[in-house]
Amino acid sequence: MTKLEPHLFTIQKAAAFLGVNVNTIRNWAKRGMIEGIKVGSRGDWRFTEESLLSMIQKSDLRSQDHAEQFRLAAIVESSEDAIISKNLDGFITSWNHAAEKIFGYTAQEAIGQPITLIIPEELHKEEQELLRKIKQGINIEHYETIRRKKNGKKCLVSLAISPIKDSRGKIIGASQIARDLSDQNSAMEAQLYLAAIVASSDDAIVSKNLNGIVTSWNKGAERVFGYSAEDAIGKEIKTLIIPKDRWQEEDAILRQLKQGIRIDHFETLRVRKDGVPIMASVTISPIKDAGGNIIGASKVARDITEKKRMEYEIAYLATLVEASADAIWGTTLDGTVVSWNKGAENLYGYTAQEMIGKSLTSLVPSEKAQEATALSQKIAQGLQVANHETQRITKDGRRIDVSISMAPVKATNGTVTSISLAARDITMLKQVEKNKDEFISAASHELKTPLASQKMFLQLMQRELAKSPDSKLEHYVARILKQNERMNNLVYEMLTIARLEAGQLQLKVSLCLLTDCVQEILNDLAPAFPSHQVIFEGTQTQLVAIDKERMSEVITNLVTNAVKYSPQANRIVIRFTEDSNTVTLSVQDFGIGIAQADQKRIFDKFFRVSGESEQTYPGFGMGLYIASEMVAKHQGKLWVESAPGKGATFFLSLPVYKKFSENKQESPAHAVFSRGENA
Amino acid sequence: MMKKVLVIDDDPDILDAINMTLEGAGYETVVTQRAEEALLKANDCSPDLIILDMLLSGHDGRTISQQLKSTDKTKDIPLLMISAYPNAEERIKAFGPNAFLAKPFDIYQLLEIVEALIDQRGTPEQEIR
Repeated sequence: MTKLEPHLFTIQKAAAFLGVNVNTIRNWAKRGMIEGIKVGSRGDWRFTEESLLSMIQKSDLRSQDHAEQFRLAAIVESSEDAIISKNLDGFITSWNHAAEKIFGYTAQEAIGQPITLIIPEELHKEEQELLRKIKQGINIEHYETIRRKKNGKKCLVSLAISPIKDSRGKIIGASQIARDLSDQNSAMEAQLYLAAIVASSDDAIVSKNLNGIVTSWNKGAERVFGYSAEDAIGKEIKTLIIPKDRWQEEDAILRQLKQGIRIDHFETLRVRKDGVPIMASVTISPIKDAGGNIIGASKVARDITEKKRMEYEIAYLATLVEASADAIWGTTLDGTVVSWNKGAENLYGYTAQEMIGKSLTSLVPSEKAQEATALSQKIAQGLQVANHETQRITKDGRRIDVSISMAPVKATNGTVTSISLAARDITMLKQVEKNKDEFISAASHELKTPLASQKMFLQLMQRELAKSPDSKLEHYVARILKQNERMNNLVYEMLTIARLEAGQLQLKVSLCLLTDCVQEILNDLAPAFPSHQVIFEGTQTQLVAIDKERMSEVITNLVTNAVKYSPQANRIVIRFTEDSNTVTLSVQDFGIGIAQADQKRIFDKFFRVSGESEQTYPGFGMGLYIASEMVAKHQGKLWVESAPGKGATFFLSLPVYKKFSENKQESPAHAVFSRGENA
Repeated sequence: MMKKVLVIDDDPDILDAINMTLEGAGYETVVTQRAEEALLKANDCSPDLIILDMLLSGHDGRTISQQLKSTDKTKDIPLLMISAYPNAEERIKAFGPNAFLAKPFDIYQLLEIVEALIDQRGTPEQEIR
């Protein structure tokens, strides 16, 4: 039986026929489970088709299982994917050929090792989590992660992990199928990545073919130009977003592109769908096919309208700053100059080159150094300083009067980063003020001197008349004296106004009860108007810090006005009220009243009330103006409530004096007082 | 004995008015418009009181005040300064006058203050010296 029977199956064919392993068949044949023929002494088994068929027929469940197992094992072995199993403790229990190929470890090396053999350290936690899921019977599909090869290199794999159950359905381990994505991914991922960049870009990124037809249009383009991708793709780019007068430019670009020339960052005008022109910065590059032929162009356009507008504004502001006659400069918080305009050069004599990077100390007179530091600290805290009058020294050593305004420059988060300063030379102004003051002083001196001798002579005359009475002469002299007194008052008021306006009027503050102050005034004043009774209402217990002399003038003015403007009445009412912060005095008369329109204007300079009855009263009308200015200087308020024909009530409110330490908002009046108290 | 008052003011009418007021009240007066005579007269006539205007044409009354107050013979003579200048009181304080009166003033005020200043000087302690 040496001749081969052609109808006999080789062991390989038989294995394939039955779907089992060659060795399995060999074993079966040895044990006589299948009818086989041994060929030659070293020869292998041959099987008849009959015996194979009978094998299939008689095969029980177990052998079918066996066959099935074998078939699966064969699949596993021949798979391109790494197929690995592990037990629930994470130890590798099987390792196929592809696993060897992908990870570099042989089955012998791998089996029995923990699965962490191929997991990078940083992913060990993830593995634990996976095991937990597996124990719960959860399948994990298409899960991309990183594994480590024997040579230490990492690779991207796609994993599918399934629990392995025993015949009773108990989970005893897990299989994992790993596909090496490294090569495939890098190319595809790069593409996806680029596509994502394009899609998410704020810039408009579009492509067009060589005929200028739009072939792609990203979200940024939709946002910048207003056309959706659907609107734009397939249209000629010229008609979409290029203004007619720039079509030539576009044609020129297309010509350059065809020659393969890239066009970088040129700024041009484009039009949005809604017709609004925008400034765009555009980069255009040729697109080549695999063969290197130019097939179109990509265009990256950025809307720089806002940027241009800001550039313009910055340039505009810079021009303003530079052209300003005022000195404008900037410093860091520690006083190092960072900018220095022409005005600053003119004012201080130092050029920008000389000052930038330097400290300002050379400008500050030594006695003002402390003040300057204090100001800078204020600014660093975010406060502003306006029109602070001080002195500075110029490069040539001149001392000049300047008015300086300082403001903090803040970052978007609100922190103060630097200081902006502006200064104006007020040397001339100071001189003019000084001249004005000198003039007023001289004028008032010159006016007062003749009034002074006049008054004395009149009083001497009165004294002579007392010796030899003459009622007519006495009457005349009294009249002249009264006019002399009026003249004196006018000069005094004029001087007061001048000093108030020059800011030279210093208050001599002391503490008192306003009620006492008023009582004193009324004691002196009341005899002058026997026609009116003064009725007091209310009390006050809180002190005010006032210049008694100046405040007396104000109150005198209110009371005499009340009498003067209510000639038909026989009383005035003086009321005192207070709350925790203010004390208020009101003077009510029952006279002609003040029209609504006049109520604010009566505090203006040179305003005089004139009623329908054409009643006018003497005086320049400076009294109430001075009064309101004086009250303002005391941090108080002066106002009127009135209806024509129903009299008027003037209100004067003053801040209650509080101990300096309690007084958070320092009022000048209190500050002056406090100094006086310490002195 | 009549009390003697030296009056220095460059305005002749003021000078005259003060003179009349004081004479009417029984004082002996020495008057001058010339600032440069002030020290001389103060030394010569040994007045009981000096009335001095703050600003005299070409001269500063404050300097004269200082000189009067730093000269042995005159330093104890009460000095009343007068002025029509605003804030004059503040300006003269440091120059040593005993009192100040702002122009315009009335004659009764003037007499009151003159009397008070001379009385002050006439205290027993000062008479012994």
